[in-house]
Amino acid sequence: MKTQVGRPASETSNFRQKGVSRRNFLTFGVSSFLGLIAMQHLQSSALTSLEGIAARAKHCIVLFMNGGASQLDTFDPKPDTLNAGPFAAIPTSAKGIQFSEHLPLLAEQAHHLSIIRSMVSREGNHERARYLLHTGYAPTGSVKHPTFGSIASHYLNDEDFELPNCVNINAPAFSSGFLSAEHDPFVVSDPMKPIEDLEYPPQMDARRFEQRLRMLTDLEKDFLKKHANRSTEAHQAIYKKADKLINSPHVKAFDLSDEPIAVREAYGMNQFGDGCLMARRLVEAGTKFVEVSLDGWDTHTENFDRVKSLLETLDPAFSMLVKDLADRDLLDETIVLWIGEFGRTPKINENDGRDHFPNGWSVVLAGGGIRGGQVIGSTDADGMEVLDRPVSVPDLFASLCFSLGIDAEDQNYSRGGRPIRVVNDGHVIKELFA
Amino acid sequence: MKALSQTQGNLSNSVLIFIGVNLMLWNFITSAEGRIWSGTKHIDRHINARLKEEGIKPSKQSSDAEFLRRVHLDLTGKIPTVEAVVSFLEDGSKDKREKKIDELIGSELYLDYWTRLWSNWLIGRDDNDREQRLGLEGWIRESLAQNMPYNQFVTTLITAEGSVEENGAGNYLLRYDLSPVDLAAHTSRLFLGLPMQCAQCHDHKTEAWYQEDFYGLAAFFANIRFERIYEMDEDGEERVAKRILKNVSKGSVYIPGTHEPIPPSFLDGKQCTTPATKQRHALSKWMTAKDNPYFCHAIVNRIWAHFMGKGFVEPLDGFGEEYPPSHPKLLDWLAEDFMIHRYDLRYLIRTLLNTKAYQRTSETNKSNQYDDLYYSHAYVKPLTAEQFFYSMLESTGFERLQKRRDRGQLENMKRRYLERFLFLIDNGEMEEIEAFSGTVPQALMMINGSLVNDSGHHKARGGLLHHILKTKRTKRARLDQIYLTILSRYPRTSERSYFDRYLRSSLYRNDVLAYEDLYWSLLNSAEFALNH
Repeated sequence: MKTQVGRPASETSNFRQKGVSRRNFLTFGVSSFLGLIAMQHLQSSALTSLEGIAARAKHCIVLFMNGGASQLDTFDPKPDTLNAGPFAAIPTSAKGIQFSEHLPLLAEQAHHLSIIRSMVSREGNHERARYLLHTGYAPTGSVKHPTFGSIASHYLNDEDFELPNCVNINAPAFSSGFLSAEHDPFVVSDPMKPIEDLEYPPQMDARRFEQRLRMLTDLEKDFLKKHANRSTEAHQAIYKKADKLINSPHVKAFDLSDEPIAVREAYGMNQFGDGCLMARRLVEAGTKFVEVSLDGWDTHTENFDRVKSLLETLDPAFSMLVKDLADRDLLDETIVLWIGEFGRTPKINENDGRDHFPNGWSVVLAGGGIRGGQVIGSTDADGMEVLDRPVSVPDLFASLCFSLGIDAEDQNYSRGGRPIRVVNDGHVIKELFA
Repeated sequence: MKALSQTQGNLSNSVLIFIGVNLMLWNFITSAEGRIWSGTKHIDRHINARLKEEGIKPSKQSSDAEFLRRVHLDLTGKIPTVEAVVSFLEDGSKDKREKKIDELIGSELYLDYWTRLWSNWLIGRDDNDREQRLGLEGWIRESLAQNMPYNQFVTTLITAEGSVEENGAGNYLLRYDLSPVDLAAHTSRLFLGLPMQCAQCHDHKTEAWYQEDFYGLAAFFANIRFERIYEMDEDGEERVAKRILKNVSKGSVYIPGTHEPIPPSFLDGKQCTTPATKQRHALSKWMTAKDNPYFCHAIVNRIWAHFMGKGFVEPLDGFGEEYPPSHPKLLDWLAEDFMIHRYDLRYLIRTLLNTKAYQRTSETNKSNQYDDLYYSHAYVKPLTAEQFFYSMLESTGFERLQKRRDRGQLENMKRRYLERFLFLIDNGEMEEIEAFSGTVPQALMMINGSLVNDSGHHKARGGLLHHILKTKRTKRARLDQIYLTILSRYPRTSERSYFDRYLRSSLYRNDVLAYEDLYWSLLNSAEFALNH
């Protein structure tokens, strides 16, 4: 019964009992709150089209720094200031751009990277910010927005593709929200281990499984008929998808034992490195969206020791991923995004840590037709404020959509019947593609 | 701060007089007529009157099997054993439902399940720090076992100090790293039902919560410090022997970008004048005060939602103007009744479970099939991940299958399974996660995983299907046993004849393969995955 949560009584019952379709609902509900929302949406400005630039990304890889990574200690160093901490800054392959000294390998790939140093949001709570950075929306309580991977899977869906179109590696994922459950992320809890349960048990084969599935469908029909609002279809669809995966030759994309050991070592030979390598293999096979998480960035205490060790994991994996994609001519069709839920305070706290900071932090993009070797936006000398070109999370999402050829203005309907845009009030960051 | 003032008046004045009268009345009814729950009757009167108003016809009462499965899932987090089903169905006494409710509330299984529920509510599912979880769960279990009044339960959590090893409640504060903003966000959501966490960065968009309110609340938690006491172990290594929570008086919180500390203030706008080291006591006193309009409402709503599938206010942390309660008067009444009965959670649960509203069938009729607001039928609740997992252990006979292993090994195996299971369907949000929505990895586990297949293979010794086929020799008895084990009911005639047809039409040379298919299908069915 969670689909109708929190809607005012009259609306819910009218809506359900009259059995109007979602679209019709808008016409009789115009005077209501929902109607107002819809009108606002219709009036909001359309995305600026970028003349002469075509979308070219077919895949998206997100590297998610869970906990919120420190921008000062990574991509927006402030050497020789009070807030700098012990890390030095080093030059990169892009003229005039400096990274933290603990990102030497990535520095060599900087000509592929676009650094945005002026991200701004208003969510400083982990849960809320994580939701925002996955869905493009602040949590509202009543609407469950889809995670971006599910959006990509929904719009770029290839029915014949047997692998999941949305894969999350190393961490639980947000859900497909009000989109169909078939776009839910496929979660790989540890890429260093083989995926479990990919093979039939003894004495099972495709034919017998089909027969089993028919029995399941037959037997639950009666129950589902007596219990309104439940459809057998979603249930069946998931099982069919799982079965397709079991029988797919592409499933080898999950198998890292295929890779030369030297390649795995170059990626770091750890959960994050292997996750990045798996992401590359999945993209090669045709998967649309992969997210790889690296946890541990919530460095309220001992920030510098912890960040240094995290960067030793991040640097080889991220740089190899970019290099590898470029070497295989996949970088142009794969947009790579490095983000966390927010940045960290420039000011160092009394425990040698840095706290949550949504007021001005950095994200990094590569591939998918963006121009590398550039910095967009900046923060002031001590990192406390954004000086120019503030970029919002919806702007970032609109840019991802643009690169992937997804119409950010398109609307889907929430379970409660509200029309929801793919991205609300986001403007493509033109500099990325210029 | 306008939101507080509205419901306040009608509660506090009448309460004190009412307590005395009601307690007397209560005792009288209890002794004279056995146990007739006046609260139970009140709820039904209210719900039914509302249904009548809306012109909705309620569904009939649930069957015994349906009731038993539901009450087991809701109270103990898993389906009943076959023995429990059979003896309940055979019991001819009139008050057997009431007796069953009494038997389960407070049982060991109840304590296990509600300990897990509360620890998930309090610190989420994140299992990075096992010591923390075990410490907290030890304390929760003890509190539930002695049926600690809820106001005291919350007070203990909020005001915990001293050694965490001795007072496990302190792990709640530790889970949030003693961070004032995180504690304010979580405390207001869980205990007061208020969506204040967004006011950390901006004034609330639809409610009258300002950043000052949020940081005023956070300031109560600014004076806790944490100290580790080390000792040398035998190998001369230093290890943590004790973790101590201390109150200091130098902490302060700031709204980001400002330099003026925000003093602790209650959500009604009054500043706290208590000395810093006693601030958290002042906060808990304010929260649990009889005239606090949120404290009882929030917990009553949460418990109601757990059993009825939908809270009066949804989302559970949605108290305020945006999400008005569906049954405001009943919610007020329940909150007050809960307070009068000394914040007794078992009383609240017992009252609720004996209602006709709770005991309706989940099958809908023409008049109520679209109702998801007025409790005209039992709302179908997808099993949570934990309910699903523990029910699966029950219906696969996991423990019997693994009986050669020792207790510790068994518990470890269970934990590993559960962790994997939770991971597969966790959606990264701190809320109940449902097993039914279904994901591909979860389907893979159900199709190919060893937990399902070991027990469902006719040759797997000790496996459930093997056991059933060995001990039950007729088709009828075998079907009975399979249905009782997985769906907690006997098969219907139509289901028996379906299986006959299946046997005839399948290509198997050996009938036992058809039993394997049946076992698998039922374990994968919507009826199993839903609490109905």
